[in-house]
Amino acid sequence: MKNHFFLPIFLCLISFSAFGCRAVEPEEVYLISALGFDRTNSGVRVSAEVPLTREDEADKMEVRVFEGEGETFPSALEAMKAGLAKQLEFGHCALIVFGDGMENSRLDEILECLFEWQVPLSATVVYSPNAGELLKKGSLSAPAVGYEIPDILRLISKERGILFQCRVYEVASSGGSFRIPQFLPNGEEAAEVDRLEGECVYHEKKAVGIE
Amino acid sequence: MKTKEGLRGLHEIALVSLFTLGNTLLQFPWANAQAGVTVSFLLSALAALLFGLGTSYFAAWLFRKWMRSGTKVRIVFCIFLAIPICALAFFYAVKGSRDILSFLEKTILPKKTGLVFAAFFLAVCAWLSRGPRRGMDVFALIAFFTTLVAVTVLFLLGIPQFRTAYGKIELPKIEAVGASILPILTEFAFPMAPLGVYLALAKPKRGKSRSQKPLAVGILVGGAIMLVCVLQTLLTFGASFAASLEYPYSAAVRVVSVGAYAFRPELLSYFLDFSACLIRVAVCFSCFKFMVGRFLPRARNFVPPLAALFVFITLCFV
Repeated sequence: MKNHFFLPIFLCLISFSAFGCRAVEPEEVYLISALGFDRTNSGVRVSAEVPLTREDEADKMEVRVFEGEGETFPSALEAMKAGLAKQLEFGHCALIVFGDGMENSRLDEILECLFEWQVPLSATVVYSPNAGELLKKGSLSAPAVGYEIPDILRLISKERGILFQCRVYEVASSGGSFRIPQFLPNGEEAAEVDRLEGECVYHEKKAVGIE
Repeated sequence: MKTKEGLRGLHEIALVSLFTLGNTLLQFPWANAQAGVTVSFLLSALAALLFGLGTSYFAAWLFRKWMRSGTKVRIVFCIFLAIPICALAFFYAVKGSRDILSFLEKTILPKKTGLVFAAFFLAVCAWLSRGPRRGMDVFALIAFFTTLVAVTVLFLLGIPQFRTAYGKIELPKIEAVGASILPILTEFAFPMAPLGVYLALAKPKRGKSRSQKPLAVGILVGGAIMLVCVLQTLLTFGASFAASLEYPYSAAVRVVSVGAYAFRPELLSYFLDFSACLIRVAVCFSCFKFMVGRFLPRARNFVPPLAALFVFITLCFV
């Protein structure tokens, strides 16, 4: 009996440990920490913030922002990928930034892309007039903006008792009416928490104002 | 002796509960169910219960009493009835294997290793169904208690993400029930046929009448576990958004957070999905074994490996 019971367990463990990791090594991919979506004159722009650790100095982290433009978000991503030597991995993305004009069909398109690219549903969504700029200006307290802004929101939520419902699944399940925090790029305000500049209110997939 | 019988009952309840979860849990709530999915779910659980009990009674009577005391005509008739049951068991073995593999490929497995993993998975299923029944019983019991712990922990951790607005139970529209009736029957009710046959024919001793209580209790317990999972999904995402997701429960537990140092508690749900699918496919293989064993007793032990091979070949093409 023991053999009949333990062999399946053993085979399960072997199979999970043999295949339970992705074939791509972490060194072979860019781990995206934040994504920004902007409107341009000719179409749209996707910005991706990628923290990079240097091989000689493992404790120092360099942050780069890659950009791609196209008529649609998938084509903008393809344009971004064309110039990169490594694959993009969205599984660690913690922040989504909506720029101006991300309304109606654009909003639906963004959400579709987020699902298709397998961005975590628990990633935080914020608004900034220029999403790419917010990412490029960098962060003060964390290695990357993608990790700093969710921390700031957690802190504000804890200290001031404000409940933010601005994660990807909360936005996607809201039926187009939701509120997301507005953040200003680093450097325009003295303190980190002051970068939160109200909430951008969307009603039926249209941005109706800042409160 | 009484303790052993009681334990046997517990094993069966565990086995039936896990079988009820099976690959159904992966995709519940189904697309098109929309609002009223909770009511649709309760209807489907009732359908599963009735179908499971009905099949078990019918199979026990047909293959144990009617066929045994019958003529050649009766045996031929039973063979004709056994063919669609085996076809159904084969269909659910393929479906269960394909569903868990595509789920794992999209979540934790690297691409292009699916078939290698399928070989391991099917080997385990064949091994469980080929050996003495006790092996599968013990595996089911351990997996069942682990499942109970996993579902409870994930539900409690998920409470902060729940939105009360999604908790309103609505009656489904007739069209919505109509659209989801086929998934309800194919995912929840029809798989009970191989299970009913397996439990009817896997009786260890002759002459003793078989109680249907563990089957009924097992389906109810499995339904209750799934109800907890469905409620967690609905309270997190709402019916409409949940229905648009490919793996709603898995997505719902993925947004659970327990702080900076204990992340990814959703890993618990992978074991749940894996073991439930494993039990479902192994029971389908056992159903084959007992059906063939009715007519060709010497060939019965070759059936699970052969079934696993055929399922593997089918998986290569679907």
